[in-house]
Amino acid sequence: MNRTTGSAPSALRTVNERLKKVQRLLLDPCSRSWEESLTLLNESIGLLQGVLAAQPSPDEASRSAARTLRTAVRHLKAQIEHARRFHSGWLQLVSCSPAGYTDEGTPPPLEGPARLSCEG
Amino acid sequence: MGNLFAALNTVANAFDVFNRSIAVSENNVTNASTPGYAKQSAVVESLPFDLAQGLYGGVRAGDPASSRDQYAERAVWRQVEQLGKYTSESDLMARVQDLFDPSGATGVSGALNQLAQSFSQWSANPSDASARQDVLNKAQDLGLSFQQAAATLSQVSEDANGQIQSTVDQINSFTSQIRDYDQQRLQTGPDAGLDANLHSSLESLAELVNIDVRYEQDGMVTVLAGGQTPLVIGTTQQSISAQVGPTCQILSANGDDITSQISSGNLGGLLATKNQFLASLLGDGSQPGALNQLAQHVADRVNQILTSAVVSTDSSQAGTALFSYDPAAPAGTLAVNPAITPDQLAAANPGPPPVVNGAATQLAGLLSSTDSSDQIGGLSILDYFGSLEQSVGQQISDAQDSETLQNSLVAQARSLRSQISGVSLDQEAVQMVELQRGYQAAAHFVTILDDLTQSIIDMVR
Repeated sequence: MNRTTGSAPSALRTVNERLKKVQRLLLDPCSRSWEESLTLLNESIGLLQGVLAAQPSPDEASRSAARTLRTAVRHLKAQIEHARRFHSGWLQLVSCSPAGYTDEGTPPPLEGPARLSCEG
Repeated sequence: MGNLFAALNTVANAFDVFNRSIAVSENNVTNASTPGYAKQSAVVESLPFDLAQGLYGGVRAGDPASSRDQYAERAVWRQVEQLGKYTSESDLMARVQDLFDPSGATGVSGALNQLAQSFSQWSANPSDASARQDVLNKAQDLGLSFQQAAATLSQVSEDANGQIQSTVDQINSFTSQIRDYDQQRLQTGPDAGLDANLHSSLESLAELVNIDVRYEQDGMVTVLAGGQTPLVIGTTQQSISAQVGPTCQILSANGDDITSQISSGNLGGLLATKNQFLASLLGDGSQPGALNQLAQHVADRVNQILTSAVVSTDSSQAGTALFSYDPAAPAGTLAVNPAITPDQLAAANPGPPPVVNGAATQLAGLLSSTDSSDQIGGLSILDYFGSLEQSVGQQISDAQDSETLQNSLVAQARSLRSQISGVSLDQEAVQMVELQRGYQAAAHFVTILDDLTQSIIDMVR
């Protein structure tokens, strides 16, 4: 098995820095910050796939960097979930005010802008 | 002439509306940094227009509308409550971190290892006076390390009592302020400044204890702790109190125990650390505490082995107990038996057949022995302490990690609050739906990142 040494911790630290940047961006979640965040997340996935393909050696530096990265991923997950629940809850509450409730007594489902597709 | 006066009156009303709008804007700018202030907007109300009835229309200024969104306020309070909890927990827990040294070089684990080594050296040369003296010295060190650990835990527990008491005082101080705002509101009616002060106090209160707030029709607020215990009802304050001791209790104004309702805020964190974390180590009325159990078990087993042995195979003189302690607080009182001298240490097993270093060898292997009579909680003594260290370390690490995350969530919740305050669904619906799609995409990416990270962890393990 051909395992890399040295490069994996560095790559993992780079991903960690990107995730920290996403965390900072999502302190103020809006359309603009989402665009940049999604780009950074996509790049991070590519970097991690590269690390995995290179089969990192089981050394302490890699273990430590991977553990730090896992904490960053968990924090990011919590931040996204918090913002999602906040917006989703608010949107449902506000949409009840003009639209009322469904027959089942639940808030109306969220709907995006209508799209029309025509085929000749 | 009537029409002329009516027209002038209409114009005057319009100027009044204009002036008030400017005043509202100026007030928003002035209070941009005021804690708890929510932006206001001028409300313009149209006047009835019916010439036949002599009504000439026009506009008048209504009461300014607040952009405060109660949903967003509550969302911030929930996060602030959690932050308060984790901050208190991590502050207190960090103070016991040094007692549980995972390297095994210092503290109780270091002293246990040193004692085992001294037993081992003694077993190699049972009649050696310096080896015997070394056993007594290392036993004394172990007693001191248990005493120091117990003293540190007791001090942290005492400090927790003091912090619980002062947090309860702060809660009562904030609820007193909120009651005063309710009284002022009753006298003056709606007021943006009063509203800002009220919400600033509510947010500060949320950092101390988990609250529920109900807005009454007359504009006053009812504040409940833990969803059930009234702290403020209109113009009445209900003070809570703390009963501190080995276990802390929080009492409502009428003396009911409401401890179980306090789940977050500084007070929730302090109660959890005091009544659960520290009590599990040091004991309380309902449990002995892991540190006491360990100290007592080590002392009892060492004493049993020594008192069943003889000083040498040539003598029938029974051994003397090495340790003494007060059963009410074993860890805090563990010490070397003051009556023992080095030559009273019993190394030999009387047999048959007699073994010159039988007891000393048994003691040398005691800490890692898996014999059921040597084990504590189904584990060897070293494994038991190791699992205790791991559990304490994990709880401390979790509290610190949660505090870091919670700081982000509070900042995010405050930012989200300002985003949606005063925003109507019509204005924001499309953007909100786009955000929902953003969340889905990000959640998908983060799931992939999580899986990849786990695969890397498995590979480098």
